[in-house]
Amino acid sequence: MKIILSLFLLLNILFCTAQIKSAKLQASGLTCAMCSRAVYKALMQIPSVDKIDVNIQSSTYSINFKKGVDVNPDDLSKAVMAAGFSISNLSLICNFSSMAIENGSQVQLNNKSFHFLIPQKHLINGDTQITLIDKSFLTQKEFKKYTQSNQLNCLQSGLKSDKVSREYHVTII
Amino acid sequence: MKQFLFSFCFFISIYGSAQELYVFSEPASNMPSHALSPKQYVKVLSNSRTNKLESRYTSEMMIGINKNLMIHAAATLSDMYTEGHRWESVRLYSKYRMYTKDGMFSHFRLASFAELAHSNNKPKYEELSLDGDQSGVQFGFIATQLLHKLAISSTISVIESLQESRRDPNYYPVYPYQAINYSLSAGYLVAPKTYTSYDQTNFNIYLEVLAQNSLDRKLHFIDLAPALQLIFNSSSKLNLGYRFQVAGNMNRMSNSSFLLSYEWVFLNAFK
Repeated sequence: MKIILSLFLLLNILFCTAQIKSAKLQASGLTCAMCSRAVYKALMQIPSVDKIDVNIQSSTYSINFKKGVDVNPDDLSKAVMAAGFSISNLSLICNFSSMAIENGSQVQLNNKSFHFLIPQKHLINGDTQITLIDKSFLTQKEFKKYTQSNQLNCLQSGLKSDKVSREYHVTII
Repeated sequence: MKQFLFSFCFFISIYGSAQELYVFSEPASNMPSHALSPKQYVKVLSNSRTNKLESRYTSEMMIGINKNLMIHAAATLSDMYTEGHRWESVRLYSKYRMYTKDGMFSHFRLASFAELAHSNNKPKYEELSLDGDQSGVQFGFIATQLLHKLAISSTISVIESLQESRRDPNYYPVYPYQAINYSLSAGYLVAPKTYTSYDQTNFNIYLEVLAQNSLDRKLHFIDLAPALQLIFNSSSKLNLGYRFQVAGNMNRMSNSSFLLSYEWVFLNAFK
């Protein structure tokens, strides 16, 4: 049974050459420009970040990444937290070459593992926006909504079944 | 006073944006990790004993150690206890953010703090303060709730004077040595109405209630402290505050004072 399950999981892991091009990040818990600037400066310290356009009013940061560099979403979360705030929404714009995605699909993107939680099948092609739904990328209230509808241990921990490797959980809105 | 406070809170909850960069008290939020913030301030008052205009200059350095811990170190010089200005005190303050719950344009934060001060001054007044007046320690908690347009912060702390005079029978029990400090603060962003750039000058107004109750003597004061704040280039702050007593029975250096301060923030100042 375990072998069948392992084979099934292996078949369900998709490898692709998609590139994370940019991100749209919304920070929470702040209202002043001074706080917004602290978040901006912290994000600019990340080596993979090339350029950021900020909407101070809505605390939204449009981040462009450098080409060919490794993008780590956890770096964004750590930077915002170091500035004293949290992420309430993080979407990545990724360029996919034609790929069929269904609920539970695991995709390797820039050496990172992405676990899709989507209600229906998607055929993704070209620039596609995926939204991270792990604890560190949502408000507590929003994260609770996802954990109630997806009672997965990996979503709670953000780790693969080996309980060591990082796995990002994403959805397509 | 209650009506005034209620009107202020109502006004900012309807029309304003919340601001918690208070002039007289600390919010539960910390400064960014690895940031340095030097601050210069001057407090001016008319001494009730001498009727002279006296001032205290404070130089303070605030350091964001990590996302949860920040430290302040300060030194003061004044002519409040001597004929001319002289160095009078040093103090160390640390604040630890214990709990954070962030929502969109809202948060609740809880922090604890501890402060230690050494002062050359001998006690002359019944108000306990570590801002240069006395040697002592202070421990307390700060809770800050930012809810849409209203930011309310409250502090409660225990302060204990550690003056050498405490062991001198000629002093004790004339002056109190233990007190509870408590405060309630609210802030409102007046301008700009819409944020478009970090270069915009921000104009904030604040109203704070600052109070003290002596634990060993039945003495107290309640002060009201309105303040104005300008923030330049989202990186430096100019604060002007006026603090005056609305109720109390303490023998204080003065029942009112002005505070003028300037503060710079250097982000990612160290690794």
